Amino acid sequence: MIDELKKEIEKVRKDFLKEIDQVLSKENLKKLRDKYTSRKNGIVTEFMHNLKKLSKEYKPIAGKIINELKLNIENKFKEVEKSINSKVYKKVDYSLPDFDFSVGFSHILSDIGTEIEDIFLNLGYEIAYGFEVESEYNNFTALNIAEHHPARDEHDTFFIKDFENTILRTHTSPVQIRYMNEHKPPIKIISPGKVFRKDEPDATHTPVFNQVEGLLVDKNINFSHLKGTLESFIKSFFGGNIDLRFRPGYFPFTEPSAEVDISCVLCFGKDPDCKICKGTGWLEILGSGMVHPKVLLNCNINPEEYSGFAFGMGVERIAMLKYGIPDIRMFYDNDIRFLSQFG
Amino acid sequence: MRVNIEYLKKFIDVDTDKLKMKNLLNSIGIEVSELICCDGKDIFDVEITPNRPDWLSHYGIARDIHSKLSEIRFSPFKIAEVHLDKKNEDFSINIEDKNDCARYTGCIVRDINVNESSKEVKNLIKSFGLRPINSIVDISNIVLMTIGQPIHIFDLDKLSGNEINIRRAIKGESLELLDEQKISLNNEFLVICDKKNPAAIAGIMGGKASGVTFETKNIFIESAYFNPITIRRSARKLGIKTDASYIFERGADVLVTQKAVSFVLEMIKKTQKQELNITYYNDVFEKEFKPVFIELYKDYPSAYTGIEIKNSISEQILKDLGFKLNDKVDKWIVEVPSYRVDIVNKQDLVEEIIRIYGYDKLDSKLPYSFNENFITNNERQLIKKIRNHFISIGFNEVVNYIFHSYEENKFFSDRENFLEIRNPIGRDFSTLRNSLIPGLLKNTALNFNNSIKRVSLFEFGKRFYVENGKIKEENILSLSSSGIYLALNWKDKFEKDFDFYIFKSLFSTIFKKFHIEFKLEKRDFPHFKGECSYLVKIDEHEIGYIGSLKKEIIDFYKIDKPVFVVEVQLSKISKYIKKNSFKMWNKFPFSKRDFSFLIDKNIEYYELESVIKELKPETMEKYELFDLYKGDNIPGSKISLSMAFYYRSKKRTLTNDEINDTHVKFIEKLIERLDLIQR
Ligand SMILES: [Zn+2]
Repeated sequence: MIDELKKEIEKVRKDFLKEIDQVLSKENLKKLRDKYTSRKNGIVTEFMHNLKKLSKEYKPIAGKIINELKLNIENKFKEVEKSINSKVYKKVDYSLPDFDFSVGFSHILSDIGTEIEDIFLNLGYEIAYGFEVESEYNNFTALNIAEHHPARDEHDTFFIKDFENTILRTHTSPVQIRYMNEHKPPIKIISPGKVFRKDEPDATHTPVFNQVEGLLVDKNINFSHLKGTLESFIKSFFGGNIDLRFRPGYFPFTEPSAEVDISCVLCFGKDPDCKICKGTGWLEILGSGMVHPKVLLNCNINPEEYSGFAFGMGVERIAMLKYGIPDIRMFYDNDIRFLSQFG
Repeated sequence: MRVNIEYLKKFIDVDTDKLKMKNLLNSIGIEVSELICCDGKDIFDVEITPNRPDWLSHYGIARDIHSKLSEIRFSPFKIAEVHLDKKNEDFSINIEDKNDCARYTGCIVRDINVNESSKEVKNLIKSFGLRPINSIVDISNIVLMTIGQPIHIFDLDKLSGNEINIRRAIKGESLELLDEQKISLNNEFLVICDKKNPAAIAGIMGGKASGVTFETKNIFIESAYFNPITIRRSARKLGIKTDASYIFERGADVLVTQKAVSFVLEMIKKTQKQELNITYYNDVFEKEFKPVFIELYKDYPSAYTGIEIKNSISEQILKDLGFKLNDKVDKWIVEVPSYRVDIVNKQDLVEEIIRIYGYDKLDSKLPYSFNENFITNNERQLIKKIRNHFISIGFNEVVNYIFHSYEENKFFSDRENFLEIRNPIGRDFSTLRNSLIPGLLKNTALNFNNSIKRVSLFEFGKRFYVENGKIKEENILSLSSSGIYLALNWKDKFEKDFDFYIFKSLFSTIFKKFHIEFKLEKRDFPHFKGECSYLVKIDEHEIGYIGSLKKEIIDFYKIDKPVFVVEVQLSKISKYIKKNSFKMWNKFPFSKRDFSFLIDKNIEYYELESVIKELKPETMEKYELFDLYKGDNIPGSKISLSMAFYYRSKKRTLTNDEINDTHVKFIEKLIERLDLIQR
């Protein structure tokens, strides 16, 4: 008889513990309270009622067991109530979605530009700026590109209305001319900035793009110094596993001139169908050379005493290679879906 | 230019493996842009840099390849030259100005038959990317592609009088060209004329009337040297680029004209059954050719390249390229061949040596060069800080073209003091921006169209304008915001659009960062809504404007939400940025006193502020507005403000009585001055 009761009580206790464990709100707590301890028909109340029906012999033992259950249950209720009361205000669900606070991104061209500039700053180059509207003299003539020089064809130039010999610079080299006119060697600068060519926008052309050019003029500067400088730059920008290659080229303002290729950043020359290097394994990335003696003379620097090198690169092209951007116009659409991919 | 690899073998025994050939050409400076297959033959499309007209021929390219691969067979171009000064006919060649035409070699051949070229010749012509015409014209093209000398052949019977005149055209003259284009001439054009009329534009294109056809019997062959600048001017004027003009503009070989005529004659002979009847030959070469001599110290190539190049190597390379060297112990006197118009100084010679020796042999060295001039650019530092600041509070940086349409610029200038482009790429790009705002608006519209609901942008860049007849460039920072500021979320259940107060508060954080006091002043700008249009000032300096763009402008960009913008001059901000030195903060506690009052609603907050600043007791450190109310329970002419005033001394803790006393006196004066009603 008692054993049976004990079993029953044990079952009630187990069920209760299971149920109370799932209670998180006051309402549910009340429901559970009613279920077990309601004066009318609570499970524990029932037991108490039934106690009366028992014989004297069993009553005290059964009473003790039932009372124990009742106490246990009430204590548990108190404990849970307390915790619910505090939970109503303090419970944190970390997994709720975050508020949509705005995040801003710097433009990829600024980031790449800054990255390039910082490498040269670390090599001791000063950053020099100039004007976007320039004279034809600074943009062409001083750079050994005379009026009828065929190289002017390659720089499709925008002209400013009502101002003679005034154009939008086609490269940042006029900054170098201005700097050389105002400073004596040693000269060690880079000139970043926008440049302009009269190109219809397409996947590889925009009428505005960004360049970083560099110039070093000092005593005993030679062609191997140029190669070493560019190699330092390329390896710190693209990584030590990237090689570079010098090829003969032509620029009116340098002699000798060199086109600089880097090993393909995508396939390293291993994919004959590579999208960006077309299987050659090389990517053209920089133009460079030893400063032409006429350019030095135009800036009152004696080419018998000083020599120097210059180089230039397109920021968009470098960004396109580094990030696999397929169309140069994307830089100028300023679509946030594009901007927010970088930075 | 098209390079037929098979045809190169006429001069050199070169490995015709495509890839090897491509690398070889690349290594000497000829960039291969495309490989074309023509009738089973490999053809390279190569890019020739403008300094190397001598590469515009197969022989010229072969000469450079040979210098790179010294050991291979090289057959110099040999033709028996016609030295005969034949003047059997009464004919004359007259050059008006030898500066325009330094040399003119002419030759008359009579009684020839003009046919179609043989299949081989036609295929060769096609491999050069040209169209076969007839046996005579095809020959002139083969000469061009072989030795790079442009040849023009006239139908002699179509020329009137027995003379050829090389002169400037006279205004009123005209000519129908071979491509049937009719052009009017003037003094800028150099023309080849018969007794009466122009028959060809010198060095560019012949006239249709005197062209060689299948009916032609007698021909006049022209092989000349024209001044590059003269030809370039005419070609640019006409907008015509021909193979001939391309070479003349860059500089042909003045010494090759006779050889070229001999080559033409030799080839014509092969197409005819009988001996050639050459009735006239004349080489007018009035301007003597003076070769260029360059002094080259033997240690210079090594010094300039930074690697050791043996004298014997330099010598060999220059000789293979056709230079003549006169050894003078520690230097060479180098004579430049007539076809190398690009070589004028010792640096040019070093390039020739290192180009052939191999750019891959250069070392990588870093120069030791100390930059004494080094200056840190303050504006760059400022831009970096501002950029980081605004991206951290949710603005996106954009970069736009500097071109706007005329209409867009007019939004921002009441005077027409902006710059226009003479040759824009289109109407929408015809002026230089005088504000960065149109760019931001285009970007805003694009992003709204892509269902992005919050568009906050900024750009650094230049604006351009004319002041006192001079062009000005100014570095500008512009910001714009439009759309939703706070997005709907599950907790607050509301969203908030940008308004002027939010925008202004976001913008002003940059001044907090730099510890700069700025202020706004009501000013009507034509691009802003009348009720929301302000000048931004630091001290008394106007640095820009802020406001809400007027409807007309945002409609123009098809934006249907208010757009708030600010535009300031960077140089003016950078002037106010000071290096602060450390100051100890006040360690005594604050005491706060609140004050709620009614004030006339027409009094603006800045007016209240200026009175507060005027009356403020020494111990009042700051104040703030924490409530603004208008509506029920207060008279319609008033608004209710609640403010907090903070008191403390730098020297000691103030007592309650002291503070109360000061505060009450201050409030009394404030009430009196502005007719406030205490609540
Ligand atoms: Zn690749």
